[in-house]
Amino acid sequence: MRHFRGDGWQKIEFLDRSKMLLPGHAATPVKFHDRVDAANFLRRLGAATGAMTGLRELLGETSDSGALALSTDGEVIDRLAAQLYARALEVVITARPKVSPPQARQEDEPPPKAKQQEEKADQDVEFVITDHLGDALPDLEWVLVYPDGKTKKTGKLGEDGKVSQTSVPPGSYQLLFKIVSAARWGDSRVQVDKEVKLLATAAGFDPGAPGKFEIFESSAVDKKPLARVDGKVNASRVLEGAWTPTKDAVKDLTTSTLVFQARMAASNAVSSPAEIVIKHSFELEDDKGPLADTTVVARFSDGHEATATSKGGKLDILVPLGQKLAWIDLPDHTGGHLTVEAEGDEAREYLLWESSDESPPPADDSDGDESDESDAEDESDEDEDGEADEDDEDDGADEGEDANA
Amino acid sequence: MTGFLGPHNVPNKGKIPKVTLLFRSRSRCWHGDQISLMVVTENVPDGTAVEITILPKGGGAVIDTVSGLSIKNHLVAHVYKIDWKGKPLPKTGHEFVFKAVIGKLKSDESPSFLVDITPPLLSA
Repeated sequence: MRHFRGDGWQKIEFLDRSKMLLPGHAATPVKFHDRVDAANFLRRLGAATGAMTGLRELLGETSDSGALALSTDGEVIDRLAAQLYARALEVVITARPKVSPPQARQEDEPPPKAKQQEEKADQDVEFVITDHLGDALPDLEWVLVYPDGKTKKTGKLGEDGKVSQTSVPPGSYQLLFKIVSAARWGDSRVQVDKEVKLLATAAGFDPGAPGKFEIFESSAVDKKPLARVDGKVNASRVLEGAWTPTKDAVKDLTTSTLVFQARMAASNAVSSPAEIVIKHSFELEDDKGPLADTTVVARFSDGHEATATSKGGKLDILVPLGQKLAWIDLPDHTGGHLTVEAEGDEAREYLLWESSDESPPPADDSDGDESDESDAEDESDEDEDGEADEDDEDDGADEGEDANA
Repeated sequence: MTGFLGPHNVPNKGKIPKVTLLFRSRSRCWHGDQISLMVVTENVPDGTAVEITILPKGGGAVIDTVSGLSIKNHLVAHVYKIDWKGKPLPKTGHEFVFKAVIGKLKSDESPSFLVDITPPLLSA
């Protein structure tokens, strides 16, 4: 006897004719008009997942043939159809007894409200929060969000670091803290005259909550900030602000990295240092007009080197703030002369030497003595220490010239 | 740290890191100069004791130790005078760092700073 699941809540039984004749078996077998009718019935049945395997096994039980594995599905159906039509095999279809879905409430269960109250009484939730060394973090304000996402409880961490509630609904709880963390810049570099986002995670604060950012030179986090910016927690629970560093705001920097601190309530988070850069724009032209697109290598007083390709005779290079152009090279134009005209400075002329040369040719230097080289080094040191004098700009120009020489 | 998730009836453990970042006011100094050594912290309460040690970059004998400092408003900024006569200076190398111990928390090395400790070579 084999059972198959039919459409809806039906049970389909295949029975040997001999069993149908047993006393007490009251089921009425299905009558098929012909062999085709029986085959159609079997095909519909065999279309269900795994049902053909069952029909093959049924044929194996009712047949003495040992070659079933080699039979096609059609042959199996034909042979079973022959047995059904010949009434050597009977099929009985009965309605399955209905089983209540698992979530249905049994009659002896308490009503939902009472059950909820019982669950609530049985559950508790507990978090134990420490720092990464296992010590308590007293006085941190917490927010416990219940599984429904709406119910919230608040409090402050004690010396035991425990946050616990009893008689609560079952489920997953979220514990948030009213602190800012993971302060980060919106860009990898800060650029003069370009807005940069200031961000810090503020998961425990509601959207719209205010916060503050203070931006410092990384060598002067104990000094007055370069700027103060108001921020607001956004929908993603991130404290967000924006700052555009103007040339005036950063004119006195002695290093080229900045950090910021995000502050909310008594909490703070400090960002990693970010390099501050300024855009240097170049216009490249020869006696016929703008130079065709070409590679440009520029090196600055701290050794920073930038390689870029000009477009239509124009080129922008981002340079760490405070660095000066030391030399410039156009590898596609070796052997030519280059005149550099800088804003507020005299035009300077250079010879673009072959890179394979052992030493560069002398530049068009008015004094050209060796002492300028040591001056350049000293000037660089003074920049770092914040003791640069008013002559720095001129010295820097000399430095660039001498680096070529 | 965005928060902690945990089910009911289970003790849920979470850790909030204490963070420290070190900064220095100068990247190059001479003997006798002053340099500001700064320690910025997150989740460290005011009053936590701080000890700063100065040592050669890459390791070696501690050159100097400054103790008796404490965190105030997430910051310690100590103006340190480089007066290393009689200190165990390395035979080679001019690059130094500082580290901080804040309560039990130990910082990484600070960015390095150069100190000219070799007598200058003058031509005849």
